[in-house]
Amino acid sequence: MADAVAEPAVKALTCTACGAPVDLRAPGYTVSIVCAQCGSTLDALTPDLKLIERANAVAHKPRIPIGSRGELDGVPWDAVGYMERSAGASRWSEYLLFNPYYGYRFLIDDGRRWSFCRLLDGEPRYVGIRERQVEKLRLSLVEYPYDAVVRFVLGEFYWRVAVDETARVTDYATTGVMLSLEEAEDEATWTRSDLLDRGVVEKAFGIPEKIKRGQPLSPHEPSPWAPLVVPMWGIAVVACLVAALLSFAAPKQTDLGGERLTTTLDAPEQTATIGPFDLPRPHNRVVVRDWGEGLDNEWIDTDVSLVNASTQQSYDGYALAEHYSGYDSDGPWSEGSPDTEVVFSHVPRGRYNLVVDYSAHTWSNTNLGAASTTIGSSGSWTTTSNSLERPNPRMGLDVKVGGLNGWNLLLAILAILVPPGAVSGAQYMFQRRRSGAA
Amino acid sequence: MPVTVCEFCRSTVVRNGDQLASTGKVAALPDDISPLQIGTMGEAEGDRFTVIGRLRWRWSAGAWNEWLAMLDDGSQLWLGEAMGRFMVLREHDGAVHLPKTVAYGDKLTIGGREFNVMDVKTATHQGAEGNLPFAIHAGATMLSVDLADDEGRCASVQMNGHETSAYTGRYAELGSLKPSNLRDIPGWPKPAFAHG
Repeated sequence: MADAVAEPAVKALTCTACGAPVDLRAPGYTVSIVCAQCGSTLDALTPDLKLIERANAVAHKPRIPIGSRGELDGVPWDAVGYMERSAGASRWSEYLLFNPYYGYRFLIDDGRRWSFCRLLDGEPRYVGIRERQVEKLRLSLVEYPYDAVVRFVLGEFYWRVAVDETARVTDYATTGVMLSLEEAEDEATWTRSDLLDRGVVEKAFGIPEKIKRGQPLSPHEPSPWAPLVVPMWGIAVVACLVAALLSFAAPKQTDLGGERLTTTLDAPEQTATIGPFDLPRPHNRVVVRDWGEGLDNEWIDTDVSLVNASTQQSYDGYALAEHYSGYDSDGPWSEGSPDTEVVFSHVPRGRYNLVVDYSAHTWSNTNLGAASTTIGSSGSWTTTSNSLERPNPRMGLDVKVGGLNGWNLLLAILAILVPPGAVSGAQYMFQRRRSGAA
Repeated sequence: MPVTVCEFCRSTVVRNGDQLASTGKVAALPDDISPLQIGTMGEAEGDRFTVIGRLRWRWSAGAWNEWLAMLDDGSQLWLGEAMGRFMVLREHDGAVHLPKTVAYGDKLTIGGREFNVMDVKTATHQGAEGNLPFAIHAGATMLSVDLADDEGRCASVQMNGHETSAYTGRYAELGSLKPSNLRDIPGWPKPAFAHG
């Protein structure tokens, strides 16, 4: 009735089941109201609040208390209803927001993020079997439709709510926006949900933030990895190209000279100085090749030092030339590499001598002159030659400067590829989690 | 308007030429938090209107208002209001045929346009106020069919007894109607889009 007396904003009624006061905020619109005290569902269309379903206790406290007012985008809203629904392992909360000048909206709390949701008029445009369009957005079908079941209700609703009420839901999503079609019995409703920035709802309604780990992802939650993927791979590709370019700009390898030395088996260490060599560039890569000739179950230990002729600064390395062979129950065998390299990566410019301390040894337990020995378990290892009058092996040393550390380039490229690879991996895992939701 | 509901005693007064006759009382409208009231003004598709009357309908799980608005040129507009959502409708001239059974998912053509049936309700008249084009007695029932297409157009087809009437139009938000003289609702500030 047209009237001069304004009605109060909240109607105070009494719960038919338990007698507790019940606040009705949207008279004329609200159909069901749930008593906050006892959880019974009451019919708001009858003036005496006919009891629809009696309940025993109210188990849950919604994050936004029923009756709270919060402002979103400059518009005040009362949270008048609260509902928990579940689909499979997912469980989420929905708040019914009301403003008499704007109607109803929903806030959806999926445990991770809040979304602001409204009913659509009619249907969103059909663009393809798996696509719908709303404004300029294209949204894609999310996997399969699922059944959403009401688990808990509190407050008032403009439709008849009941625990265990089920609706078949089909979602369409793009980043930040989701469309949902809910079909129940004889009707269908389309809603649109927009993901809200973190903290917006908490600030609007004055509630604390709550972090719940392990919640399933909503289909419209944006991936934190997505914006990183392309830039990181772009940077990696450029870095790899630069690394390759630098590598191929490295100077070619040139020979600086070398010497052949004769060793004496099982004798004390000998020293030789080879050189001098001039290293031309500010930083030089020096490769010393060390090979043994005539190694027969023998090895040569060599300490190799590049010594700067003026500063006496020494760069030290070690080389081992070895070769072993024999017969055992499986036939002949051989082991050991007689040809090795020592690489010095960044030797400063200057004149250097190569000082080598070397000694050659035989594979036997006794010194020169002892008989050949069997090593190892029951006859599986034998030496072939007689240790008496063995010829002394010779050692060759060659010094080269320049060249490319191929392995270094490969390691650098692998290292460059690790961060974008990790980001792509995280993005893939996130997408899998998200599309597995609901 | 030929019919007026007296705001004091709720009698329906019908004017027939110079004759006034009372045809019974309407039910008291229940408390309502609708933002519209008799006298609210607004604009639809460029035409200014004033709200002059209201019908309220109830169904098994809800209720809605149908507000009658008059335009400057004397023509009528209906604003269907449910849960804060509005349909701005004009009566469709011409016959509309409702099949024997209508249900969600069916299609109906009205005025050359195809609409999808969104829902079908049996509704009972729950009250009236202001000036109306016809008299409705308390307890009258009708079949109400809501339809929509996917371009924002909507339609409403109502059948009571042997008469079928159809209305077509668009969904609208209250803000887009540029309303003024909205109802004062205690505890709620008027929105920015309300002029006065």
